[in-house]
Amino acid sequence: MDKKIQDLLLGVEKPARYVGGEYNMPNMDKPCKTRVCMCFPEIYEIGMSNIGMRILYHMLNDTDDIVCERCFAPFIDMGEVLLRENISLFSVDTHRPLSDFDIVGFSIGFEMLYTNVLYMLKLAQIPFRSVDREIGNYPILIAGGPCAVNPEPFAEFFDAIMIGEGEENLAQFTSLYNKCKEEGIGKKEFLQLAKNIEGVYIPSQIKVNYKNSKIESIEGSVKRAIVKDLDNAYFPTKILVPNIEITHDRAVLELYRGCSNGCRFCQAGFYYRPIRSRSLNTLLQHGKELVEHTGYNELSLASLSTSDYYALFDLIRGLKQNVCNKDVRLAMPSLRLDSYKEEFMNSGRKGSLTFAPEAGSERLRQVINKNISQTNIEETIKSAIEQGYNGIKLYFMIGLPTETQEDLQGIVDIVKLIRSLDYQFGNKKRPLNISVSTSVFIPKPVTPFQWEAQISLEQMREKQGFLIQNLRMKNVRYSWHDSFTSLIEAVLARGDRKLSKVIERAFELGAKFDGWSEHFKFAIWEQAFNDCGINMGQYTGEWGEEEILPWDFIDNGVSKHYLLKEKHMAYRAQSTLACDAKNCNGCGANKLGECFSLN
Amino acid sequence: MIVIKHKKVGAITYTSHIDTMRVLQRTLVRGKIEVEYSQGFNPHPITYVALPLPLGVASEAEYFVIADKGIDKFECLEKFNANVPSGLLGSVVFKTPKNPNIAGKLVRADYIVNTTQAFAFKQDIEKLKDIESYIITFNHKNDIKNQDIAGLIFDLKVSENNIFLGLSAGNVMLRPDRLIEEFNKQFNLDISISQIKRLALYIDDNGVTKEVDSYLAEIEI
Repeated sequence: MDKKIQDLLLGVEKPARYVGGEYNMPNMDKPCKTRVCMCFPEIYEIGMSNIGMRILYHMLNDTDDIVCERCFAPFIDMGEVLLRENISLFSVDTHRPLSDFDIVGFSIGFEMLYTNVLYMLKLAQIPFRSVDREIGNYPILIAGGPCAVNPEPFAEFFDAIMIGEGEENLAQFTSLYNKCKEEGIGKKEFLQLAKNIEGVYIPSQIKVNYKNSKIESIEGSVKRAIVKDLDNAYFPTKILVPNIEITHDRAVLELYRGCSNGCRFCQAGFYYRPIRSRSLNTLLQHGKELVEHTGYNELSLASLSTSDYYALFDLIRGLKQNVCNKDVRLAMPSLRLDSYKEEFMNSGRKGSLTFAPEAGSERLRQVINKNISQTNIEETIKSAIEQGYNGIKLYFMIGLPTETQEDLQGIVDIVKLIRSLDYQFGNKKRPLNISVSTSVFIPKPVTPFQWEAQISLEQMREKQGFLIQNLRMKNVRYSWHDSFTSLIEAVLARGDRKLSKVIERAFELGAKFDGWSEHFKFAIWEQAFNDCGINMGQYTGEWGEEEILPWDFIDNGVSKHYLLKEKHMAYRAQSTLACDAKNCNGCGANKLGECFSLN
Repeated sequence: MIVIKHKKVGAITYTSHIDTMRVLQRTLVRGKIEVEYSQGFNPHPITYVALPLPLGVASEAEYFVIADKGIDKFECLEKFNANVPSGLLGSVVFKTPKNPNIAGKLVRADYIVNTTQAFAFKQDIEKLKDIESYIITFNHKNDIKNQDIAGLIFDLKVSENNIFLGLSAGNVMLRPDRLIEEFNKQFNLDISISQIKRLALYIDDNGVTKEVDSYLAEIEI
């Protein structure tokens, strides 16, 4: 490591964030043709917890001729040091400047991280826009991750965007790059060829035509890439074990992708369809290897709805017998209480039960297709009390489509119901601690609610105020997501290319670490929108069903027609049952690959 | 008890003492090295460390003591080295009848500081070894503290490329980073803490000062 950097590291918080040296670090000196740097626009502790980063990092390093390193957003103190000392942002593994890599990839999981992408590019001394990198020897800049569902707000910053799952198409992309490099083929031609790889979106090659500020047409299309056979897909078990504590410091098994429940607000549930599972044997094998290779004392199960994994109890039983023992704990996910079996319960004191009705009334829950009846709620609470839980954590959204005052009152009524059941059946000496948390509904792309409006700041305040007033009860705590952050998230989620200059302007004015409440400054964003002459309301209002949406050029599998049908069902408060191997609701995702192949 | 002497070099010098303990404990799990656990509500593996190292300081003389369950010492070292991040590789291993309590017996720690800056002030720096009284001030947990370093420097030699330090350790501790910061202040130097490396530790064995390796070799089973 450069001596200057060595000296400076001692002046910042947690220098271990920037230096690497973790157990299971791949060989960085192996002969390679292409050097890739995977970037995650958040601090080390958050980025290292991300499964997507983990999979792609190890997948690339396990590929001949490719070495992959990592880079995370330097925290504010380190960023100041780098700027002051004119040190270019460097990778964690070998401390190489980002500009020295062949390919620099950003995994973007959250809209509030867009300014951090620019923050990292600024520190790396790499121009933000693809068009400004045409001349000069800059790395190929690519992006991927969950936000690629609608990449338009950041499209102009990147040479290519990987839409969908990266395990296969990123390998093909880097392999093509190797070949082109060997044959002396330049960047422009390489990108032209890369367009043919499934899921690769070259923003410069898609043309968006506007009329009266609305999109009139989009020329070109991209098909979302998926891994068809998830059971045999690459999954690393010799993973990096960080030297410092990270946000999710445990071994994680990915059970399946997609979700059959079809909750109408949920982007991930639709976007990650078709529903593909890993088999029981594969997961048991992964679990055993992960624990052996890492020494982690906790193993957790990850998916969108773990209760729905087709062989859940066999999996838990198998892991408890063969993998988890006194040294390795199986972190049990929040399961539906009706699916609980005595043998699987962790012995010992029970903490809080997490429960997400999302809406206060049965009617509104049917609108959003979160099918929890009043009876379900009562049974769940009674069960929780019997099993000795000492708290309940409830999650709701405010501002859902068709929401009325009665629905908000429903949230209060649920809390009163819980208190009453606790009084009847619980321990009067130790009443349940109830915590209620509300977030603001954000209309997201590729959901039946993608055309909906978000409520105004004033409405958010009114509703939060109502709940603050009416949830003032003993042992009840109410917390709410910040309205201003929710507004900016909504704008960016449904944004188009015009927003790239707003993001740039916001960054110039000082926006970064917008996902952190202590660093997010709404006034900066407000000014950025004004300076660019763009009205936020254009992105938060209701959109017409016939309008062309910025992400319409992407074939996600799930059809727009199906989402529209679901939207109409929502307005009739009609639910759609969860799909399964025998009952297909016809969303269109199976056009990309087979659903439920293992069930 | 098994004692593994290991280093702490490279990237891992930026990992704090507590985090390093966790890294070492995970190494035992990966290596399937069976360890005795403590009793009580929150059982944890019984392990000890001789002397915490300040952040950024490297070392060739760290001692990790494990309450093993009878594993052969060489097998233990092999498994440790196969499962530890490369910056913490073990070099020597000892098997002792009980906890050697290195931390409780410590009296001295030697360090080498890689720098060419001190040579110009060699005489003045070396005078500090036998000084009658000299107060240094430093920040400790948002508070300013004073320490009289008289009698705490057992050895101090400045050469063209480095400074050799033999400092008091254990009950009365003179941290090398605080001394170097004092040199920087007094002589207007810019020596970095990351250039400090611990070379050896010494304990007091019934009035006799012994290097830890020698002591452990003597009491070994």
